[in-house]
Amino acid sequence: MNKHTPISIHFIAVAVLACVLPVALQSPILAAEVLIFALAAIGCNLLLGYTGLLPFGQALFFGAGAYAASLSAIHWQSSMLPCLLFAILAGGLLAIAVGYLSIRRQGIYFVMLTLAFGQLGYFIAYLAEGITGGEDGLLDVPRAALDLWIVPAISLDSDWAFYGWVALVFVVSFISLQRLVDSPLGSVLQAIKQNEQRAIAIGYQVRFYKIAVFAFSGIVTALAGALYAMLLNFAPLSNIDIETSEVIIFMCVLGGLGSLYGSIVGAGVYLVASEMLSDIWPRWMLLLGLLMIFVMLFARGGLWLGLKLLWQGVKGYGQDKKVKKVEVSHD
Amino acid sequence: MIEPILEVKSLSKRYGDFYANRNVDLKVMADTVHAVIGPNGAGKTTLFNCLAGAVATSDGHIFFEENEITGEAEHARPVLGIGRSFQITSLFPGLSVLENLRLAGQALKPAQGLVFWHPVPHDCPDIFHAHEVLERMGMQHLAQKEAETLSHGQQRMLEIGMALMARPRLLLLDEPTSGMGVDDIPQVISLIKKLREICTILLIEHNVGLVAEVCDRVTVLQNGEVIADGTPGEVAANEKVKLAYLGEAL
Repeated sequence: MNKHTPISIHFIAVAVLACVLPVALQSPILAAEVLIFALAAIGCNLLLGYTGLLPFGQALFFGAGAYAASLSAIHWQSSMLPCLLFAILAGGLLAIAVGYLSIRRQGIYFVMLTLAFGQLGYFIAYLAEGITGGEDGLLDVPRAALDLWIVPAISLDSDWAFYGWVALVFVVSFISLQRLVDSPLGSVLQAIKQNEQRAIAIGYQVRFYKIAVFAFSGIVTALAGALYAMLLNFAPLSNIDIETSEVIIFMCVLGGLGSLYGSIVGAGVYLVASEMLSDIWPRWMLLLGLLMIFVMLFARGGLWLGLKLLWQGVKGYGQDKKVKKVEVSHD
Repeated sequence: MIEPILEVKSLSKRYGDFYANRNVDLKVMADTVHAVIGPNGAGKTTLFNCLAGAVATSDGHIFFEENEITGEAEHARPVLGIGRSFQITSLFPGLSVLENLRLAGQALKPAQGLVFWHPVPHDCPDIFHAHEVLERMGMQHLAQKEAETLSHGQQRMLEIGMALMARPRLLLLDEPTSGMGVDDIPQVISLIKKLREICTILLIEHNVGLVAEVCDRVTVLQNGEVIADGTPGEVAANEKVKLAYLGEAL
């Protein structure tokens, strides 16, 4: 998959993935969790992998999405689409505010600002017991039905139906964001990542673009948070804590920066490993830590790039002679 | 008499008590090649940064085509018609040469940078223009190469090419030959001769041969102040300039 891969190929790839995943994992719940966290990791990737901004407070958007959707489902009995719309609004607006203030500083100060905003959000959620349930979280979050007005409402109470909905949201979001990173806006983000000073000097109002990418990141992360709350029927306080921010960054970096597919791989490996290993050994996180160290030292492009190189190696081994011939004819 | 395209009136730039530029007056006439020279630390690059908007001026005024631009943001100046290159090569290293140029062209149409729903078109005017610029520099064959894989000389040329994508009416070149081997310098000289047909050029340069060959006018800075201004011949004969370059040893 590279820059010139047509969008239809991306569509087929993720649609097939979404169909195969629950069968391969033998659990629609785990599969839904993978796709949800893949969305969150993609939100992080937009900032870190494509724009070069390390966000340490993504849980703020994740948690905000979870609370916004849960509250509207509990108090207003909203159906699915309005719930997600509230989540998107909450995440997007918060991200614009956090982005607007954080990008005034660069490097480590930027990271610390996002961390501080994340912590601020955590303690507000912790203290606002009346709204968020405080330490207990919001219990009994219903899975809002999918009500499209024209057709009868579709209940998403069964795990398979809910997975189907998550998969649909995932595919649509993925395709839209793949479009975004290949678009003129995406090319400006690349430029900012590569050389911010030069991007300004040739005429880009870099601050504006950074706020825009924050908004997209906040939206997709909040969407993930909202779906997660409905998957669990519960919006725990931990959605908005620093560990969730860490997990999101971890998945994003582990899978590979600068590729949306990497984020799926990162979320998948993390969640499947935790599912399989946590029964065997309570300290399974240690193994993931070792994997991360390995990736950082020997496969810095992340698991996705590692897989790609492996595939090219296998392919190249068979096609070595062919490739050489083609090169000669090009010259 | 031709008009000044750029006029700087008693510009000063202070860092604390230190004056990097003090009361600099400068007139750059349209369709000329104008050099700013001076010993290291004379404030040449600071002056350039003020002109390009990368640092705020402490005092004084800058007029471009008779409009005051002193307070304009850095990112707004390419749109006004001022392009710049950097002394230390500053490219998008991981992107192709063509993409480096295309991005510089796209920057002038801020609305286009907001498009997030369709891919970058293959046949947009910026890409045609990028090919034109590459042709002018004799670098067409490098279009698809990543910028970081180019030789230093080629990177310096791309550096200028990116400034050209803005179709600037005033081009600021900060030491275009910096770090170049002697063999590459004639290429830069011939490029500057070609470029003067399409825009006014203000450059900082240490290479005396280049200055004497291509420049119509030279301004000499020392310790942040203008000490001489004239044709290359006049400046070379100026006693103050000789002293500035050779120091108190004389």
